[in-house]
Amino acid sequence: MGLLSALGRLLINWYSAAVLLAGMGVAAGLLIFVFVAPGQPKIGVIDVPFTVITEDSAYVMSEYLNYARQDDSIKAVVIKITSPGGGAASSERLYREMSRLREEKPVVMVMNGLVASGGYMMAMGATHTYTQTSSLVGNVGVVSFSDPLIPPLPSESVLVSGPYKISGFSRQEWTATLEDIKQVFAQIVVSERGDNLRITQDELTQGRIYTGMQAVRLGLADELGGDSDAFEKAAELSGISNYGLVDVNLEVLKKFLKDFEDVLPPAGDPNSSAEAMALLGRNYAGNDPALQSAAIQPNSSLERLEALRGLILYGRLGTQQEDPLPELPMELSHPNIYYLYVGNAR
Amino acid sequence: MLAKLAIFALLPIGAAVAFVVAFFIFYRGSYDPPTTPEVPFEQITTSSVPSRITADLPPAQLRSGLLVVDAQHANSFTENELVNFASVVADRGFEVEFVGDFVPLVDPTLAQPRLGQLAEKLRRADSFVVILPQVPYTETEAALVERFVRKGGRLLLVSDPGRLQSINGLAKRFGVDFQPDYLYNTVENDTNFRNILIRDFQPDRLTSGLDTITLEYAGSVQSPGGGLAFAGPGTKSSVLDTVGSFSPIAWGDSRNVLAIADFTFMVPVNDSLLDNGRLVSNIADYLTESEREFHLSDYPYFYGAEQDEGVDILIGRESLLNVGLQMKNGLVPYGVPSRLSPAEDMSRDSVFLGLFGDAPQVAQYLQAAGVRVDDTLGTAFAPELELAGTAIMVLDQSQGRDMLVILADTPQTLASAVGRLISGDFRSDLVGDFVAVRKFEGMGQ
Repeated sequence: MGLLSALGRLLINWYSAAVLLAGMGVAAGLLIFVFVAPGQPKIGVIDVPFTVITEDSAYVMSEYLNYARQDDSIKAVVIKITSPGGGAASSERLYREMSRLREEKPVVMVMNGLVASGGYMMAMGATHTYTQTSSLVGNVGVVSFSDPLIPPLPSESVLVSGPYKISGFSRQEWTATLEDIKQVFAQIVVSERGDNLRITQDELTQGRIYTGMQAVRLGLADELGGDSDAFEKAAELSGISNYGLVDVNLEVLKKFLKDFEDVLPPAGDPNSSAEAMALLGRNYAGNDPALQSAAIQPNSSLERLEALRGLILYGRLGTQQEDPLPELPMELSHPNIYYLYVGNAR
Repeated sequence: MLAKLAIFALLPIGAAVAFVVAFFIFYRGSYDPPTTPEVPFEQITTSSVPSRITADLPPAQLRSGLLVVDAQHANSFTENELVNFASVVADRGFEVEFVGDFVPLVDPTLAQPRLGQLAEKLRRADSFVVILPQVPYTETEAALVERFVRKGGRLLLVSDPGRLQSINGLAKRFGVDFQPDYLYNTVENDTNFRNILIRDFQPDRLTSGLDTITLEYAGSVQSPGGGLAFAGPGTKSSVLDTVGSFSPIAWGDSRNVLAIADFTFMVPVNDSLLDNGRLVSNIADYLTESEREFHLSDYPYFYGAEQDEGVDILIGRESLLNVGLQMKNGLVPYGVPSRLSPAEDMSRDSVFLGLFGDAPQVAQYLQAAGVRVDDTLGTAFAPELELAGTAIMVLDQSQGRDMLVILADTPQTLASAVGRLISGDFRSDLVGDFVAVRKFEGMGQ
C-alpha cells in the first residue's frame, strides 16, 4: 500500500513536473519567438501623399526607406504614393534607395492618383507595383531650363580660368546632356520592366502619361489594385502571415522627435517640446510668420519632419543667405534637371 | 535517475515545438529578391551636330538699299540675336535700320506717330523684316506693309513657336498662316526631338547650296505659295500628332513674301550649324535683290541709290528762283544733295519747276504720263481742268532716272505745291502712282 501510494505520488509528481516543464518550455519558446526573434512579422507602411521630390522631401523619404530596411521586424514594405516627380538627382536617389531595400525585403508600391516622371522612376525600384485604373502613370523624360541662345557678354572684371568656367557647358552640350539623361531614365525603365514592357523605347521617351489601366496593359505597372492587394502581395512575397502593420512615417517621426528632445535643454521640462518647436519656428522659418506657424504647428508629419531636419541635422545649412558670396559681382544660378510632370501649366 | 533527468528535456522540447509552431504560423516562406538589372550607362552617349563656319558661301554681290526691321510691336527678340544676320545683309551693301525700339505701345496717343514712323521707313525701304511681333499689326499698319509689298518690296515674316508672337494678323494678308504647332521628330533629330533636321528642299535660289539645316523649335506654315523646305519622314506636328509633309519655310502669295516658322536658326551660334549659315546668306541675297518700285508717294526716296550723286533742280524761268531754293532746302533734311542747274543732264535725277507756259520744255515727260497742257489741263483722271489755281506733279522713270515735274499756273501756286511736297501733304493729291493734282482755292488768275 505504501509502495502503491509512493508510486502514485511519484507518477503524479512526474506527470505534474512534465506538464509543468513542457508548459514552461512552450512559454519560453513563445517568449523567445515574440521578444527575442523573430517575433510577429510586420509590414512597414510608408505613406507619401502628393509630394514633389525635392532634396528635402527625398531626404525624409530616404529616412523612411532606411528605417524600413534596418528594422528587422519589418519583413515587407508597402508604399502608398502620389508624386509628379521632382528633381532628377533626388528622384534617382530614391530609386536607388528603393532598389537597396528591395534586395532585402519585398517592396510593394501602390501608385495612387499621379505617379509621374521622377515618382515613376522611384517606382522602378519596387518589387511589385499596383495602380488604380484611373491613376496617371508614366511621363518618362526630362525637363530643364536652358540659358538663352546668346549668353551674356563676358565681364572684364571677372577673371575665369576656362571658357566654360562660368556656364559649365554650351547650349548644344547641354541639350545633348539632357538627351543622355533622358536615355538613362528610359534605360532604367526598360531594364526594370524587362519583358513586361510592351512599348518601344521611342514611345516610352515621348513622355506620355498613361492611365493605370493603360499602364498595366503596356507593362509599365504590374497589376490593378489598392492597399489590400498590396498588403496581400507583400505578405505573399515575404512568406509571412498573421502580420502586424508598422506606420513607418510615425516611427521615423518619433525617432526625430527623440533626437530633437535629446539636443534641447532643459531635460524634463514639460514645456521643452513647445519651446523647442518655438525655437524651431524662429530658427528655421526665419521671419516668415507663415513658415513659423507651419514649423510650430505643422499640418502633416512630413512638414514636421522637414522642419525638424532643418534644425537638427543641418542647422542653418541650406537655408537662404542674403549674401551668398560677399564681393562676387554676379548672381548665382545653376541649371536644374527635373524628372517632373508639370501638366499643362507653363 | 536518468528518467528523472530526461524529464527536463521537455523544457527545451516544449520551447522548440512552441517556437517552431509559432514560426510556421507566422512564417510560411522566404523572400527571393529579384536581381537588380544592370543599366548600360556607358552605352548612352549623345553627340550634337557639328558647328562650322560656312566657308564656301558664294561671294556677296554689292547692292545699295535699305532693309528695315520691325521693332515697333514689342518684338520677341533682341538686337544681339540679329547681329549676325544684319552683318550678312550689310556685307551686301545694304543698310539695316530698325523701326521702333522694341517697347510696346501703351500710350494710344502715340499710335499715329508710330504709324507715321513706319510709313516713313517703308517709303525708303527695299525690304522689310517682321520678326515675332507680340503686339498685332493694326489694319492700317498691315495695309501699309501690303502696299509696300505690292510695290515690289520684299517682306520676310518670321515666327517661332518657342516665343510669344502675334504675327498671323499681318501674315494672313499675304496668304500665310503660321500654324499653332511645333514640329518634332523623336527618331532623327539634332540631340532633341524639337531640333528637327531638314533635307528636303524645293529647288530655288533661296535653297541653293543647302544639304541639311537644323531648326530648333520650328513650327509649320501653310500658304498658297507653297513650301520651300519640308520636314523629313517621321516628323510630326504637335497639334496634329501625325506624320505629314510639314513645311517650316514657305512663300507667301507672291515671291515678294517669305515666311519662316523658326527664328533661332539665324541666331548665333545656331546660324553656324550645318547649312544654316548658307540659308542665312541666301535669305540676305533674297532681301537685297528686292525690285522695289518707288512711286511719287515715296518722295524723296524714289531718287533711290543715286541720290548720293544729288538731284538737279531745273527752273522753267528765272522768276522761279525762290521756288527752286525752296525745293533745294526741302531736300536738305532727307540728306539728298541738290543743286540748281541751268540745263538738263540726262544722266542725273532731276526736278523741274515751271509754270504751265513752260510745259513744252518737259513735253516728253508729260506725254509719257498722259498729261496735256494747253488752255486746260488734261489728265487721264480729269480731262478738262481749269489752269487757274491748279498745280500738277508728274514723276517719270522711263529714262532710267527719276524726273519730277511740277507745273502750276502762277509762282505762288507753284510755291504752295512745293510746300505740300515738302510737308508730305501732297500724298492726298495723288491721282495715280505717278501723278498728283491740286486745285488751290482762292489762288490763280
